[in-house]
Amino acid sequence: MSNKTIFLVDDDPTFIETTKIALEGAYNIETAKSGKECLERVGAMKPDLIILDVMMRHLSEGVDTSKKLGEDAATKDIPVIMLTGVNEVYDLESEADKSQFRYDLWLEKPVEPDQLLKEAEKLVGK
Amino acid sequence: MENNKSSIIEVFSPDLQYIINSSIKFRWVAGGGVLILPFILSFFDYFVAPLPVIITAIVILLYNIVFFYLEAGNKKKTDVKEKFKTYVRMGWMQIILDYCTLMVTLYFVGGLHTILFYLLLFHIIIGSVILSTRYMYVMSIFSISGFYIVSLLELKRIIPNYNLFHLSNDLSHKLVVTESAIHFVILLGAVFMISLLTGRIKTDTVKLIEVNDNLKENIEYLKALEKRKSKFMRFSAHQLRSPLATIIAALNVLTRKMVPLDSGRAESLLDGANEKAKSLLELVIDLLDLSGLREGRRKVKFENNFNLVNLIEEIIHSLIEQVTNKELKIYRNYTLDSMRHEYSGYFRYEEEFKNHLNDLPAGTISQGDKELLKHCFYNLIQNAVKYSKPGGNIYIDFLDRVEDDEHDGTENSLLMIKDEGIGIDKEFLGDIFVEFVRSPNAKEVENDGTGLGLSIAREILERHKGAIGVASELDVGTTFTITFPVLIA
Repeated sequence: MSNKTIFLVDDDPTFIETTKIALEGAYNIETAKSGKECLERVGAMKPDLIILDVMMRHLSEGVDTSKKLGEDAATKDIPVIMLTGVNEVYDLESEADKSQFRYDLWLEKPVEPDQLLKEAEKLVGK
Repeated sequence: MENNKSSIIEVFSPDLQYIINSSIKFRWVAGGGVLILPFILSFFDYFVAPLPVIITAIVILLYNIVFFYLEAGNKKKTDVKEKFKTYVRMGWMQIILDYCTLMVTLYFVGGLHTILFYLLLFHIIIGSVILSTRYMYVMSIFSISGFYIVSLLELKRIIPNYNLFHLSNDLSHKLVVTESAIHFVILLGAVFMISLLTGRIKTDTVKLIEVNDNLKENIEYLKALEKRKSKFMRFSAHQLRSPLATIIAALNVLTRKMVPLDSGRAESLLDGANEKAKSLLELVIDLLDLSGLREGRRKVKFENNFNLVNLIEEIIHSLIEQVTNKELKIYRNYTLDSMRHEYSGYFRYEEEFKNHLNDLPAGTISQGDKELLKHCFYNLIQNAVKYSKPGGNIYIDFLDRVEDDEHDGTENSLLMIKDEGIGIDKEFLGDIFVEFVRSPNAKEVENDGTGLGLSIAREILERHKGAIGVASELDVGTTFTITFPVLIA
């Protein structure tokens, strides 16, 4: 098992659990239930990858969190996977443009456990 | 209404501008014609007094110069209403001035004998486009009568006659009177027909403009509706997709036996998936309810006599488990004017209330769809229970008869549901009845709410010609106020 850490941020506990099961064989997994919690803990944790749900309690919570991560020098180089239940583009209500915030990979839920593991390996290595 | 009027002006203003513009051009020719009229007539050996006619021609040309510059100035105006007003004023001035100069010209080129009086027709036709139908008739009769009166005055030798034919004035009175009378009748007939036609065209134009405006409005409305519908579809699809994604993800992990199936983790995954499946079903049911109401598939079945107090009590009773678990107190205050009963005291508990329920008159009746109203009230009371903090109070106030100040004679029923719960974020309060809109703090309490309960409640009230309002403060509480007519027209 690698000593690398993946930080899962999602407000749906069942989804967190399934993602955790998919990845915990290869990585340390930390979880947070909100964007706010993610930002509070990310500095001390220094994860190697962050997996962010796009829409949590607030429609733009995932996007806002990703923007803030990009603005902070300590976190701006951590790769981010955005996970979303929204089709193709993030266009609900706020019509936000994907180019306005940073992410390394955009995946639509549900993601096959094997695929998620592969994508994680591509971004952080084994 | 204001809009319609301004659009009528917008349509008529270019029309009027065109008419005034062309009548100015026409007047140059007419003025010139009058100027050379004495020479033409004398060429044919008619006798004409040239001086008054030439002076009249100069007057016509002079005021036409004034009109020409007035029109040129008015054309540039940007205020459509102001422009239109000036054109109407110019139209009136033209009608009056043209009539005066025309009468003077007619008088000096033969008066009662002249056949040039048919020029009055042109004048009346131009007038008829500017004037309303009623004024048009008045002006026509006035114009023709004026000429007839002048002719009669000449005939009676009260004013001199400028004879075109070198004839002495001993023309047969009878002949002239008959002739003039025939001309008078023909002219009047022609004018009335013209007036009828232009009047008809005008009303048709106004109708067309109205129809056009209505069409535009309808198209806008349909476009907005279509947009709303497709947005609703998009949101619905997303709302369905989210829980499905979680269920599939959980099943994926379980079918690959990535965790032992008899472990606690597997159990919690199954529980989670089960919860999501339930919320998915709730969502589908709510979506069907809402679309059924909107499409009119769910007909509103009005019943005349049912007891709203009992209805509210049934709802509270069905929620009693959650109420007890959270140690909530539901106070009810029923003011039943129709029965001349007022229960100003609050009933705190189910048991306490039951004693009074027996005393309640069997009335407190209302008109409405019992099943739908129950659904509506249930959604609101359930929300109050769901979002109340443990140990909090809920106040339900029901007044069965309230005078509606706006519409005389109609009476409303009023229901207020007040909680001391988490409240609604200001940012979301305005949209709280819109489908899928949920305050973030509500999602904290219950992540899987459908976001359709309030939309359904509002839809049901609209079907009852009622209304729903909300007041809320974050962390302090929320009050929903419902009114609907006692008798639905």
